[in-house]
Amino acid sequence: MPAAPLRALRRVELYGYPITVEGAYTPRQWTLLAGNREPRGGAPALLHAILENPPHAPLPKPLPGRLIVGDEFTLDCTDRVLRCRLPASGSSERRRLNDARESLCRHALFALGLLAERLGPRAVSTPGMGRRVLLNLHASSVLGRGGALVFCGRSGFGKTTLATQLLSGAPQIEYDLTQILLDPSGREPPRVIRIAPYLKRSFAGTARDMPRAASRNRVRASAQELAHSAAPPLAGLFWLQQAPSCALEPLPAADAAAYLLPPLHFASELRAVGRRLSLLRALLKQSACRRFRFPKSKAKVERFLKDAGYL
Amino acid sequence: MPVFKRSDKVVWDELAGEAVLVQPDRAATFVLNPSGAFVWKRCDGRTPVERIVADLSAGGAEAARVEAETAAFCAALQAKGLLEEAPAAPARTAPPARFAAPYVAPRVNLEELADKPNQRPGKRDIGGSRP
Repeated sequence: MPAAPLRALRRVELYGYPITVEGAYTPRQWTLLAGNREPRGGAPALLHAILENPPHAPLPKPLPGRLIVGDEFTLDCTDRVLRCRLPASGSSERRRLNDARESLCRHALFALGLLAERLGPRAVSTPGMGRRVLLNLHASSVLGRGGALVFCGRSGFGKTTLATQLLSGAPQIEYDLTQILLDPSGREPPRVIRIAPYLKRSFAGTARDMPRAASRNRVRASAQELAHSAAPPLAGLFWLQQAPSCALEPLPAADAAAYLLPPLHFASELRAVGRRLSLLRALLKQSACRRFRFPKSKAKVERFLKDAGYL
Repeated sequence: MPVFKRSDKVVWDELAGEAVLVQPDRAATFVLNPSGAFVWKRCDGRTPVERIVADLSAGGAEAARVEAETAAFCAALQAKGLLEEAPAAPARTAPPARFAAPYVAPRVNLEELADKPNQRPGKRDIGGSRP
């Protein structure tokens, strides 16, 4: 069956870049494209494309997945290579471009996570991802001794404070939305997607270097880097609660699943809710969630997590 | 005694013996303790409550107490729209099931109501400038 023609779904603007979001969907491959076939552009509203223009019903078999975000930017999960090219003429402000790129990555991964929930894990699996799927969690994360420490909680529970201030000594992975690469069968340990290292490595040059960097901006990470840096294993999963002193307590798996369930992006779709619940069950089977009581004291929190072997 | 069935509008799963129930239209999530999960799973529209009570009290719990607590539990779930009374008497009943854990009154351990049932992340949630 031929691919349905890409059609413009939405025009948006991010960081001053005009964006056209397009989508195509065939029985053999899905493609989402947010970017610029037009002269200039740069970034994303994949999220809107998915939320407001629902794809077809769940598919019967796995599809080879490839997410293309504009012809300027590709996130290819097949070989875990991140390719990005942005127009040098867009801006000379490196920070602004970095923000836009990072945001694109997040949109792309976030979109994959949403697709996994909506269409089912196998619908968005790729050869490179194997059996693994993405699970979006409303959580911050830092790199600890044995891997990624993921801190979950509602808005205002202290996720961002913990990742950006109280644990500023540990490399930060995400401050609000953490993506878990999860094997629902449990054969491979869950890992946390880390975007920033690629981007920092790609665009470490000055603004003057941008055109050159943009022309050869291809990042390949070694297997070891992927294992230990790009997607560190999940070393700790915590549900936050502010308290006068630090403490770790077991949290029943069912309670943890109920806590981690929101935000329900497809709350009205029973099948999508069921999928998220089953992914959470798989996650919690492999990695128990613990309640982490903590005070707003950098010294106390760091010392406690070091003593517990997490940092 | 009545026969209950689980509402079609509820998504549920079992984790470590407990049951997580999600009611998307109310944006509510419930966690049932192991006895509650056992009752929930047996509310299949063909097993009468007497049968469930018999299974629950097979381990030695006092039948009258189990019956009262189970009836109250089912009524509570029905009030929340999680259970529905099956319309007609079942043609056949499910085979007996064994409740292995020590009996504790079935109850809802946790009830979570999402602040924003259909929350969509803002720009900050999926990108944007770091704080």
